[in-house]
Order: sequence, then C-alpha cells, then structure tokens
Amino acid sequence: MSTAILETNGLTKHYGNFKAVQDLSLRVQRGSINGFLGQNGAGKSSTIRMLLGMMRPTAGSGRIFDLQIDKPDESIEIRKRAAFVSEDKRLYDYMTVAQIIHFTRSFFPRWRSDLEQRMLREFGLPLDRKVKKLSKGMRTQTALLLAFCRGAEILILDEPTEGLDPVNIEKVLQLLVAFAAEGTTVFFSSHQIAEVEQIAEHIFIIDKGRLLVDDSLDRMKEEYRRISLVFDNPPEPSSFALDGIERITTADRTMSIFASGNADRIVAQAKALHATSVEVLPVNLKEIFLEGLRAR
Amino acid sequence: MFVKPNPASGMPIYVQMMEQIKHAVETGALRPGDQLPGIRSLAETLVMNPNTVAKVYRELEHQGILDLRHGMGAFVTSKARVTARTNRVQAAEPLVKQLVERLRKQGLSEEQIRRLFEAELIREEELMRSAK
Amino acid sequence: MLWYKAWLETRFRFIASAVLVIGCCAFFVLGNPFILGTWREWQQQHPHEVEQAWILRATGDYPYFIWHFVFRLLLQQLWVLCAVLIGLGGLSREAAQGTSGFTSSLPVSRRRLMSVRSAVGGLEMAMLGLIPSLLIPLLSILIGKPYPVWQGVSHSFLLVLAGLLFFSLGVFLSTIVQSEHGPTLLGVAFVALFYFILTPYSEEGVSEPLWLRLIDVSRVMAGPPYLLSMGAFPLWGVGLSLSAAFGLFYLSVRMTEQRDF
Repeated sequence: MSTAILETNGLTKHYGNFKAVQDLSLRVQRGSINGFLGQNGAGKSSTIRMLLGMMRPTAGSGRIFDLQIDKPDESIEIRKRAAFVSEDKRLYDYMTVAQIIHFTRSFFPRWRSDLEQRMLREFGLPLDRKVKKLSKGMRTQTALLLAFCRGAEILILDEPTEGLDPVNIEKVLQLLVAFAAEGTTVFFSSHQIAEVEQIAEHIFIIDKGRLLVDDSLDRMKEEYRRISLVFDNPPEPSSFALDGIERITTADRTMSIFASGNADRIVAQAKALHATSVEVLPVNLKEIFLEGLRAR
Repeated sequence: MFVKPNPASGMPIYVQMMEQIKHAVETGALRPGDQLPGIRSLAETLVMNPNTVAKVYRELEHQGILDLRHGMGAFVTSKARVTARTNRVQAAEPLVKQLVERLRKQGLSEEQIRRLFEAELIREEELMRSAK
Repeated sequence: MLWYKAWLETRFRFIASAVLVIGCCAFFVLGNPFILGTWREWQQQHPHEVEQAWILRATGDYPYFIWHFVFRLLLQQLWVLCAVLIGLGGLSREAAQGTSGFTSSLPVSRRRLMSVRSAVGGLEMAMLGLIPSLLIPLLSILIGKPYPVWQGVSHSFLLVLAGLLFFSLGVFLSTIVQSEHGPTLLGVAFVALFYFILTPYSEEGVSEPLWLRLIDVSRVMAGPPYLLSMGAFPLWGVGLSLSAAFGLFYLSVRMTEQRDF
C-alpha cells in the first residue's frame, strides 16, 4: 500500500534511435514539494508530457491518483484533478486575459476565484489585453494562474518560473508553498537550482533519460560530503574502495573525494592511509547536481 | 524576527531554522509561553517548505524547547532556555574536539593548547570591559 | 466553451468569406443586365459568327444564367476555397504555434476538440451556402427578374452537402502537415489544380473521361440547372461525397488521437 500520488514504472520514450527517457521509476508522495532537475534534453519535458498524456510512452507505465497515464480516457480524468503547465507556455493569442480565464474556468468546477483575484492583483495582469500583447513574463504568469486556480490535487509544472524576474519568482515560490501547506502536491522541473533548493523537500535528478538521484534534500545535505585530504605520499584512488564514493580527484598531494554517504568510514580510511590533513565539508544541491553529472 | 534560511548552504534548511529558533530563545527574543507563527504562516513568510517547518517544530518539541498544542499552535516551553543552552554545549563538544585534535596534530602540547584557550577567553573579556 | 474558442479561431475567415460570397452574388445578379448587354454587343459586332450554345441559353433563361455563373462556377469555387481554409486549424496547427501544451492540459479528448471545431466550421459553411439562396432572390427583384427562393435553397443545399468534402480536406491537411502555413499553401494549390483540370469540361455537352467523372465533385455540387424534383437530385453523387467527407474526417481524428504532441 503506497501513499504515492504519482508513480512511474520503467517509463521509457524513444524517438527513433534517440532515447529520451529510459526506464524511469519514481514515486511522489502526497502533499510534498518535489524538484525535478536535469540539463536541457535530459528528459524532463518528455517525462512531463507523458504524465500529461500528450505523448505515449514507448514502454513502461505511470499512474496519477489510481489512473493510468497512457489510457486516453483515464488521462482525461487525471486532467480534471491534476494541473499541468508544460514547457510551451503559449496561450491563445486572439483571446484577452479575461477571455482565456473565462474559457479555462468553464472546464473546472472547483475553480478558485479567490486565488484568481489574488494572482491577478499580485502579478498585475491586465484583463483586457490580448495574450499576444503580453510580455513573456506576463504570459508565464497567466499560464500559472490558469493552472493554479483549477483546484487541483497535484501541480505538475515544467519550468514554472521561466522568464520571470526575481521578485515574481519569489511570489510564485510563495504560492507553491501555500499550496503545499493546504496539502496539494507539487512536482516541478527547473533549471534554477536555487529555487528548487529553497522549497523542495524531495529531489529527482535526471540525466540522459535516466534517474540519477531520487532522495530527500535534507538527507542529501546530511550525507553528501566533500572530503579534502592531503598526503605526503598520495595513495592510489583505488585504495578507497568504499561505498558512497562518487568521484575522486587527485592533484599532487591533495585528494578530493565527493561522497554521497559513509563519510565517517572514508575519513577513517584516509587516516589509516596516513592523511596529514582531513577536512570534511558539507555540499549544497548545485554541487551535488554538477558532481553527479560529471561522474557520468 | 526570523531570517530567510540560506538554501544554498550545505547546512539543511531545517537545521538552520532550528538554530534560529534556539538562538531566539536564548537571547530572550522568544520567552517561555510565546507562541510561534503557524506552520503555514511561517512557511509563506520565509518562503520555505511547510513540511520542513513542521519538521522543525516537531524536532524542537522532541528536544523540549517547544510545546505543540493540538489545534492551537507551537509555544515556547518554560524550560526552553535551559534546554537550549544544554544543547548548545552538547553541540559545541565535537567542535572543540575537532579543534583540539587539529592543534595536537600541529604539534602543540596539552599545556600549550590550554594556555591558548585561556588567553583567548581573557582577551575577549578585556575587550568587552573596555567597550563599556 | 470549446464552441466559443472554435468561433474565435475561425471568425475572421468566416466574415471575410461572407463578404466575398455576398459580393459574388451581388455581382452576378446586379451585373446581369450589363453582362447580357456585352454579349449582345459582341453578337452585333460579329454577325456571321454563332454565339456559343450556353450563352444563348443564359441570355434568355435567367435562372440558367444564375446557375451557370453562381452555382456552377464562381460562387462554387469561392465556397470551396473558403471551405478548405476554414477547415484548417486544430491541434496540429496549435502544435506548430506552440499552444498545444495548454490545450492538451484541458480535460477534453482530442476527439471532442476536433468534433466541436468541425461542427462550428460545418455550420459556418452551411451559412455561407445559405447566403446565396436568400440573397439572390432578393437582389433579383431589383433587376426585375424573379428567381424562385426554393430553387436557390435546393442548389445551396446541394452545394453544401456535396462540398463538405472540401472542408474535411482542410481538416485533413492540417492533420498531416505539421506546420503553420504548409496546410494553407497546399490547400489553395489543391483547389487551384482541381478546378484547372476540370475547367475544360465545365461546359455542357463536353463529355468527361470516366476517371474524371468519378472525382468531379464540382459537377455534383452544381447539380442540373433545374432542381425540379427529387429525381433530379444527384443522390449517388452526394452520398459518395459525404461518405468521403466523413471518411477523411474520421481518418483525421484517428491520426490526431495517435499522434505524440
């Protein structure tokens, strides 16, 4: 019995020879804020498109609530309760902001007018302006409004702060935090590691279509360490055959070990190998992300 | 009263928040009986994950610093200050251990290390006295 | 609200088409005296040459005149072009424009999206077909030559039913060609080519090769000069054309349902 509101099993997507998503299995817990990181082309958007039902998986399956993402009928049911913002945030040019809000709310009986008013006010969106006349930032904000006000149980967002200035980014993060406080699940992809690090409790990192990291952010910060060692006679890196070692870099007499855990044992080993200096430093998400990519 | 935690720090946000609250208790910014902001309110104000706030409150309750009254909120306990202080000492221990070990490695004797610490403490005291 | 969206998407095309249709009808009705006058002048200047049969008939027979110029030729061509252009659009075009992400996030099936769009387009085409049937009798009063309303209505009815195929073509082109302007160019080119091939056979009395007869929807849409009874109604032709229209539409829906966006 899992409490996962979203779950994928071996989700795979090939475009001809190109493997966009490979064997992706992840679980998202209800009420949590999840960050989905990865480089361009790593497979984030393809994954979200499959969850949304825009694209069919080549293999594997996924479910949101207890509905299958690859069955068109069930996908429609999903979209009644899950709000998506895809990579493409363009909206109908020929409608005004007011018209597109009116249009969208007709599909969602649980539309939140209070939130609609709040967001219109906070972002200063002009109701009578046609979408094609909006700046990129305002377009993103309008797209967010149209998603946030659906009264959804889960928000699945692809780059929700794209094109926004820092003040408005903070407003969006604040809205996401408010959602989480109400029990809404948030799953968002972003290039901005800082935003993810600020509000996400669980992190997924995808690279070349594969899941690299699937872990709680707090746990990662408690376990990941950069261990700087100095030796008179540096040993072979192979003499550090311990769990948790992700990457060893050596330069002259120094050795830097990036570890995802097991720091104590590594330190003990270093001392056993006569390290003259041992420094254990914490790392942040950016370093974990960059190191993780380098290690591959 | 509270400062936004630094997400890019290697220190987890929940640890930073716990430190902030404990510091507030110690300096008297928070006194026994004071109510802390609600989970949602604090999360929105500091723009941080509400589950993290919940974790912080729970941990501090576990440590005896906060009292979580169901349906009402989080309150500073009467023995919070004492507990915070005790925890501080406990937290300081490994720091001291690390420093002492390092100094020893550098070749200093126990006597030299003790004299260094005392000298530093006396110097600080003098500084504070002359500042008055 | 899908109906509203489809209307917003096609309204300019519809209004432009309506203006052109009205203009076309007005031109041939109000210009009838002028055109007849031109023919008479030509006959006077070339007394030894025989006027073409259809011109002789059109001079004396006003409903025939209308049938020839409006329902057989220019209005039909105009209507067909508008049908193809109004049929364009839909999710595939949205993909080229970048809004398919938003539309895909709505809890509606692709089938329903296309059906509503096509229903709105179909209604618009029916309106455009209806305008001549009401306008021509009205304007004909101004030149003193009566034109029966029911004649106009039956011709319009035939035009729209048999011509829905072209609307489906627009839908189909938008589905298979995934660019914003590609389907438009292809659609216009197709209509131009279609009429180019058929023009030599547009006169009565000129027989068509069999293969051409099978695809000559244009002839079906025009029908006989006088639709006096149901017997004159080209049921087979209409049936075939409508089936093809639904077939193309169904194919477009299935393809859109299978496609990755």
